[in-house]
Amino acid sequence: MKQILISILDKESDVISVSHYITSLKAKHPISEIKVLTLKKHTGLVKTLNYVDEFFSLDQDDISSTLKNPIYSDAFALNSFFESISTCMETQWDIFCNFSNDLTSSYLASIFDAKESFGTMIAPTGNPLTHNIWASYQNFAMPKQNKHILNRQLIRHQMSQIEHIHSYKRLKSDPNLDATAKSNFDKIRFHNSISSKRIIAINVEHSYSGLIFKEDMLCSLIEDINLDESVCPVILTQGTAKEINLINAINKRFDNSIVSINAKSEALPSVLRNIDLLVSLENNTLIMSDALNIKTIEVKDKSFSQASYLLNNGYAIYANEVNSVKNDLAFIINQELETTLSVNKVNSPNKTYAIVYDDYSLLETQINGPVDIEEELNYHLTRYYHFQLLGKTRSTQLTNHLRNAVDSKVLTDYLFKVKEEIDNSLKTVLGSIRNAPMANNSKVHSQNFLNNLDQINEKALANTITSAPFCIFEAKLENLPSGDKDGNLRAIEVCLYELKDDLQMLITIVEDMLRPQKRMDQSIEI
Amino acid sequence: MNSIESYELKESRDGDLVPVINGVHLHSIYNPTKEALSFIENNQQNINANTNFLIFGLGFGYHVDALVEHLESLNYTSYSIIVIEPNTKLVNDFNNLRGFKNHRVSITSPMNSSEVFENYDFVQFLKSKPAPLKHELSFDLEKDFYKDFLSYKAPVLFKDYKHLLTPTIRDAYFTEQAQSFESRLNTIKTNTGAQTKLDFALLAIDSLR
Repeated sequence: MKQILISILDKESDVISVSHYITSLKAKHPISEIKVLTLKKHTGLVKTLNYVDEFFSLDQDDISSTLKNPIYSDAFALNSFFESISTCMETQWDIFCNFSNDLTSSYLASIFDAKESFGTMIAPTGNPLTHNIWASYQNFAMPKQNKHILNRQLIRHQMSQIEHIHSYKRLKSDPNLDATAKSNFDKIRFHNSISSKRIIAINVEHSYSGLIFKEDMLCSLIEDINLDESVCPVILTQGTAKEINLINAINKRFDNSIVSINAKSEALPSVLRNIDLLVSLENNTLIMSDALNIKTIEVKDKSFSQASYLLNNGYAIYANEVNSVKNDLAFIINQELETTLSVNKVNSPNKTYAIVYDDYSLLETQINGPVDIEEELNYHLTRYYHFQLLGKTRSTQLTNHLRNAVDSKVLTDYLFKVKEEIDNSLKTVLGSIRNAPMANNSKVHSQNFLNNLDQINEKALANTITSAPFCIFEAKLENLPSGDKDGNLRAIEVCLYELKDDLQMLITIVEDMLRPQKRMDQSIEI
Repeated sequence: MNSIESYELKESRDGDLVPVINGVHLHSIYNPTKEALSFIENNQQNINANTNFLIFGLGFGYHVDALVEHLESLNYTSYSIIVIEPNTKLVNDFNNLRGFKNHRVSITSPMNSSEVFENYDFVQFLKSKPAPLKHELSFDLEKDFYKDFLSYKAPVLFKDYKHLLTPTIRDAYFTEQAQSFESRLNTIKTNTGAQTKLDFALLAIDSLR
């Protein structure tokens, strides 16, 4: 029986997202006991996860308030901490995964006794150590990206060498609640109707960043849904006073005809299993819905950097303002449920993306709204490059698609810009390679080399198409053993050559994409 | 505790017992129950905004009874009251002669501040941010004790709070530690790096702040 411990000590969104990881892990290691270490405030969510045999919790609020206040003895914080993790410390783990990639879990990775450890751990010197290139990408490249290029959950799968499994049941639910929910939803489906209606659930719970749907937008959407007899709206709520007031105001405008369902985390899977489509801001309900393979529309503010939370062919609307999405929602609902909701012909200011899969993995592809061609090209090319950087084999699917879908001049201009950026980055790397062998010769050479490394560090922070290999380089330096100065210098030199090769890889991609276009241009000239 | 030169229990005009310490009547000698209502009135704002209370001074409990009555009238169902009174003789007499019948009210009678701050349950109660309420006459009588209580700072060296650690933790990690949590952290971060499991654990605890 394999003993597996997964540490999730950061965002609550991770506590539900981990359901994908746990089921995939269970599929790979069916004879295993999976245990979770989480924060006390998130234990309610952990209880909904399938295949979790036991969980441990750290009371962060208690430990933190004890340490911060001089009237309380640090002894209470130490007792609380050690008692919470005592079993974790005593167990010989087969696998430990620092899933949430937070600092506490990274320190704990150095304490727990595990045969295999996935993710980041902290070295005695304080350096963050990553066990493979996927973990390096997660820890060094992703935090510097304005919007994540690759899906974080899938990175975590790759980091742990597991396939993303879709067939397993990710969330638990109480059979009695399931039966009650089904019976209630059957009543809703057949209310005033001979044929069964599909249920569109609108979640009024606020987003992680505190955004809310407003009454007017919700009423306008509900009004439209009500006009189509094949669908029926229901409102989902967590039952806060604000949400109840909002629901009351909405119901006042619809003669109390709108069904609202108040379901807390442990009952939520039973409710969500009965709906056909969910509209929601970024919150726990949204992630749960996606984990249950329910078709989900995620509405998010475009100014927030987090990419879509969805992993199951849903939709993400990056809105200028989350209450301006009624038209975008109607557009998707019509497409998904073949309804006839009214869509204003005027172009939407918001960008809508479908979550789909290609040869590599999940991607966001724009299906509606204003297109910023350079931004789109940048996303797709960067994604394509990052997968190759991480060791995936080349695929022609994307490059062929871009060649076919994008105006050749626009694509060529863009690719030349990218080439310029790569040239610029290569210069920095070549300068470092030149100075590396002399770094030990004198103080001046040593200083020059350090300046080169500073420039490399700036490149890693620049958030351009060439940043990721610089971040991977940074990870390699952090993983170097300390102490042996000459040995480290030689290792840095090797890493610099690898960095050069990584940039060369992007040049090859760009040149490949330019080549057929050149041929086509030449043939036109002929 | 301040020195007690004289201590007696007198009966008020209404038949209630009133402690008189060093010549100070802790309640009205006419009608302590009625007088206790002014304790509620004077602290009205503080009382209505809270559910947990830390009362400095027991007297003979009339002000505490008035508070309980007030909270019950507001239909509060989960309030908690702790009374701090260092005078053990007074506490014993109160418990023998009156006592609180409500399980939401308790009295703590520590010898000194550290005794009460080393009590885990009391610390958890303090973390709930109870509203502090003073019974003025009792407070003045034990001013030094309460002053010490209100300015208390927990000892910071491992060796000074070793006795509070659970045996497993104490035996495993804190045998010869003459450092504080903060100074050990500082040493790890700026000098030695993390060398032992305890060092990593301290860094992990620090990251939870």
